[in-house]
Amino acid sequence: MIWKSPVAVVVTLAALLGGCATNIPPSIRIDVGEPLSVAQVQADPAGTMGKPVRWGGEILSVINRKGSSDVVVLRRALFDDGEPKPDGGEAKRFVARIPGFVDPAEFKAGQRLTVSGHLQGLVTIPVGQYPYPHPVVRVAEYHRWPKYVEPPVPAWHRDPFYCDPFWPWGYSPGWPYCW
Amino acid sequence: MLRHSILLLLALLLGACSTVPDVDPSLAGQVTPAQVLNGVGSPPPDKRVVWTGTVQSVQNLRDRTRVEILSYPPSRQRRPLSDQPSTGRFVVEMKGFLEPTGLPVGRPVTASGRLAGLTSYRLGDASRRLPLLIGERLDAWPMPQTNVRPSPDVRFGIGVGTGGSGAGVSIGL
Repeated sequence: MIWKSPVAVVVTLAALLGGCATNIPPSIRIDVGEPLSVAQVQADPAGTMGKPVRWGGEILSVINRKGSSDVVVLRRALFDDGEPKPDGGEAKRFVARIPGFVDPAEFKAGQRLTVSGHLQGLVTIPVGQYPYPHPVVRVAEYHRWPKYVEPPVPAWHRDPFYCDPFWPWGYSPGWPYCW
Repeated sequence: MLRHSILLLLALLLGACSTVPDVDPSLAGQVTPAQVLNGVGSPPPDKRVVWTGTVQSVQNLRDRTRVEILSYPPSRQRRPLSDQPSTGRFVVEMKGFLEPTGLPVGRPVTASGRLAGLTSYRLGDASRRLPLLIGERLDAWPMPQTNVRPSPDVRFGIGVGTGGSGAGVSIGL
């Protein structure tokens, strides 16, 4: 009945296709920021003021302030698409200052977050008794990532049947010891 | 000659199977944190030791960081043999700031430095006397793997049968 209407078909199709689209903001997927590190900003907060960055890493804590929320992030290196790597990288702290209220129950410690925005100097938040100078990123867009799963090894990579480095250019005898 | 090489080879092969703890021989006679705490055993004249263990807690002070370590004997790679009995507890003090998230509880570490007697290490309201190592170097090793990576649970196979004639593709779950 409703399929008689071309509009309904188009709307349904659009809804279905929309389900396939990623909701990752473009400024997270594509790095338009400057290649600055936390250490560089700590060394020169005035000179880096206002510069755009795309930073990401592991959420450590959330501090809700009046009008904004400071998410403390341990910086990691990013994959090309903006997703933080699970470990390694600079491993220094910065503050992602997100306008408005973010729920600490949602921004859980250990989750991965990538933000894009502009540098806004330093804020000192103590770690133990150490006054740690955190660079502040005034966040324009952000994305939280699902739990990192290591890309699985495709099953055929481990199939001894295909264990021939010269395939398909001929079988090499005496090559049973691939792995 | 040949017999000797065979014996040598056998010895080498069997040696690989030995279950004797593989403690670093150059560190085997070294004083342990428990001995320092109890006042037995004598620290080397220059007070330098290499101790290995797992992280228990981290204290970030203003200009230095203290790490509490549960000590285990050092392996040949100078990593803690954490399946061996513990050899006590100690505190290593490093200059500057160490990121505490990089030193989670249980992370294996190797600390080298100079013994500086005992210190009181406060954790919460409790305070304990522990041997203090003024650290020159602190190396952290990867966390022990708690579970091996699961293998893909879908497998594909191609089979050819000879009972009459038949071929099949199987998917195992």
